[in-house]
Amino acid sequence: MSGSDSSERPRDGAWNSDPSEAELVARLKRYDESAIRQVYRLHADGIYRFALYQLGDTALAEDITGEVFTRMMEAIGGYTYRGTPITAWLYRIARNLIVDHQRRGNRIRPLEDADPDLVVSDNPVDLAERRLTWDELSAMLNRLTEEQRQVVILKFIENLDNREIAEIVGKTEGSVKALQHRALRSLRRLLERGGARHG
Amino acid sequence: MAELDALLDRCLAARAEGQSLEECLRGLDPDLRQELRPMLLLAEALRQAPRPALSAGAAAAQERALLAQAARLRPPPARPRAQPWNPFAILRSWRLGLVPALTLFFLAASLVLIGGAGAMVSSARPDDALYSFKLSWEQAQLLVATNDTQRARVYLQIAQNRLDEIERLGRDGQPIPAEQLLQLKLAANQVIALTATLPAHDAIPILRELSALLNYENILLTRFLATLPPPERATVELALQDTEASRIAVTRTLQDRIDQQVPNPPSPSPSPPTPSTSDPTPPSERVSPAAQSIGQTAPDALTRPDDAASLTPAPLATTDAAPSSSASTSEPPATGGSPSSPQPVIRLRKPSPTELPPQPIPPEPRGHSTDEGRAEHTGQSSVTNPPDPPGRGGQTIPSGDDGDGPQAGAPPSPDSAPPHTERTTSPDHRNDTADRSGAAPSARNTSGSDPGGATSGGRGIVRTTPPSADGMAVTGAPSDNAQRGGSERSGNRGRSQGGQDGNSGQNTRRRD
Repeated sequence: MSGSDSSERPRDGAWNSDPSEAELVARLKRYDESAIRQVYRLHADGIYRFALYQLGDTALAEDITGEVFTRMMEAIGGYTYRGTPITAWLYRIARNLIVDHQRRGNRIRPLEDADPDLVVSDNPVDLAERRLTWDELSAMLNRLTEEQRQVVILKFIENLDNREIAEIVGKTEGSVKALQHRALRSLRRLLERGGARHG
Repeated sequence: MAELDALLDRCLAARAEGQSLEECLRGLDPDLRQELRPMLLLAEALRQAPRPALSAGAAAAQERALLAQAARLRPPPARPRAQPWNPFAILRSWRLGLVPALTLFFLAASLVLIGGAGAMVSSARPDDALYSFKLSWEQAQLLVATNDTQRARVYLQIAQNRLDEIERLGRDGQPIPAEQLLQLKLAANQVIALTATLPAHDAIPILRELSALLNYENILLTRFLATLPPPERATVELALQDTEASRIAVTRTLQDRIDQQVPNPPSPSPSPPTPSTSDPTPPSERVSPAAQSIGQTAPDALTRPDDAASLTPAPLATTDAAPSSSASTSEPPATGGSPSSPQPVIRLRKPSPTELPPQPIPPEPRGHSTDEGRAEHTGQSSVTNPPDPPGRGGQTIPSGDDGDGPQAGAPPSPDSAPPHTERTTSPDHRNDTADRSGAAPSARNTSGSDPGGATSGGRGIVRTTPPSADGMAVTGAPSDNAQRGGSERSGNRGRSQGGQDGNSGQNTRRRD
C-alpha cells in the first residue's frame, strides 16, 4: 500500500487528542480483542462503502475492507496517537490500497454496473426528495474526479468532517472544501447538461 | 467563487445540523441562492444515498480473521525476570545434597593429599629436594603452636627429625653434616628451656622423650664414630659431648620435675634399700625410677620394651663417669630418695623418632654445660653426693647434675644413691642389660666408667627395673638401636659397669 498508514500530523493544525480515542488506540496496541471488535464494527461498513463507491465491485470492496483492518493490526504496534482519529487512518489505508490497485493496472470502474443510459433527474429538488438509487448514485459519482469522488463520499456519504477528510486525502481543509464545492457543481452541471431521464 | 464556497460550506453545516434549506438560504442574494440551492439539494441527495454495508458473513469472517491475527501478534505473557545468579540459591535447590557432598569430598581429598605430601616431606633427607619443604613444615608447626607445651613438642619432633636424618645418613655411609648435629642440639636445648616453664605433668613426658632421644643419639653417634674417617670424627665427637651435656641437663631437669611431682620423703639415713618384692633386681642393682627413667630412653634403643623385665637395673652410674671421653651420661641425679625408700619406677617412654619435632636450632639452652662440671662425680654416684654406698663407685645416675647431689634445690640425701640405672655401654651390652631381671651388672657398663649411665657412647643404657611401685618404666631408645652401638663403646665408658659392682647397695634411687 502506498503512502504511510501511520498517523500523520494534520495539515490544518494539530488534532485535539480525544481521551476515548487515545484509550482505544492503547487497547488496540495491546491487541485487545474488544477494542479490535469495536473498531472493526464501527468502521468496516464505511470502509467497505468507500471502497465500493470507488471500485464498483463488492467483492473487491470486501477484500479491500479486510485488507485495511489487517494492515491496521500490522501497523498498530508502531502507531502513535497524536490526536488524529483512527477513522482517518483507516480510510487513508483504504485509499492507499485503492490507489495501489489502480497502479497495478486495474482501472477503477466505479459503479460500472451502473446503467450508462440511466438518466438521472435533472431536478435536484426531485433528487433530494427521493432517495437516489444505487444506480443513480453510481452514475453521478462516475462523473467526478477521483479526488472529488473521494471527498463527496467521505463528506456526504460517510459524514466525515472536513478535518478528517483532509487527513485522509492528504489535503488541507480548504482544499477539501473546494473539492466538495467543485464536486457539487460538477454534479449540478452534469445533471443540468445531461439531465436525468425518466424512463 | 470563494464567497460561494464559503456560503456553501456554511449552508451544508447548517443543513447537517438540521436546518431547513430555506433557513440556510435566507438572506442570501438571489443569485447566490440560485447557485447554492441545487448544490445543497445534491448534497442532501448524496446524504440520503443508499449505504450498502458489508455482508454479515463477510463481516464475521473478517472479524474472526482479525482477532486471530491479533492473537498471533499479541506478545506472550511477561516471564519472571531471571534472577541474578545467587550462589546461595543453589543451596536451596534440590541439588543441595551434592554441594556439601562434593565439598566434603574435595576437603577430604585435600587432606589426604596434604597428609601424603606431609608424609613425603617428613621423610626427606638433607640431600633431598623436598628437604626445604620439610624445614618449612617444621617452622609452620612452630607457628601454629599456641603454648609452650606445643612448642616443646614441636622442638622435640624437630630434634627427632634431625636424629632420623643423621641416622639415615650414617646408615648410608654418608658423612654426617655438622649442621644436622647442631640443629639437633639446639632443638634439644630448646625443649629443655621450654619445659622449664611448664608444669611438671606437661614437662615430664617431654623430658622423658628428649632423654630417650638423646640417649639414642648417643648410641648412634658412638656407632657411627667408629666408621667415620678421622677427619669427620671430630665433628661427631663434639656432638657426642654436646649430647652428653644435654642428657645431663635433661636428667637434672627431669629429676627436678619428678621431685615436684612425687616429693621424696625425707630419709634420715642411708640404709640399704629394701628390696622390693616385686623387684627382682638386687637392691644393689636397682635403679631409682627417676634415674632409670633418665637414661632409659636409649635403653629402649637397646632393649626392647619387652626386654625391660630382663634388664638388670644397672647400678647407678657414678657421676664420676661423667662424660668420660664422650658424651656424658646425663643421668638424673638420683635425688632424693633414700635408697631404702622405695622409689616409684619411672618408666620413660621409648623415644619414637616421630615424636621428636624437628625445628630450627634454638639458642643455647640453659645449663647446657653445667653438667660438664660434674664430671667430678665420675665414677661416683651421680646425682647425689651422699656417701656412696660401698661398691658403688662408678655408678652414674643419668642425670644432669652428676655429682651434684640429688638435684638442684633438693636437699642432699644423706645416702642419696644414684638412681638405679641400667646402662649398657654398648649395644652389645645392651643385650646383656636387656636382662632386666638382673643381668650381671657387669653386663652393663662395660666400661664401668659411665657416670651418666644412659646409653650411648658405650656408657650403657640406663634401664629401669621392672616397675615396682608405680609402674613407670623407662623405655629406652628404639630397640633396634639397641643392636647398635657396637662394642667399641664398651670400652669408652665403663662407668656404669664399673660402678655397678660397687652399687650393690644402691638399688633404689635416692632423691631428696
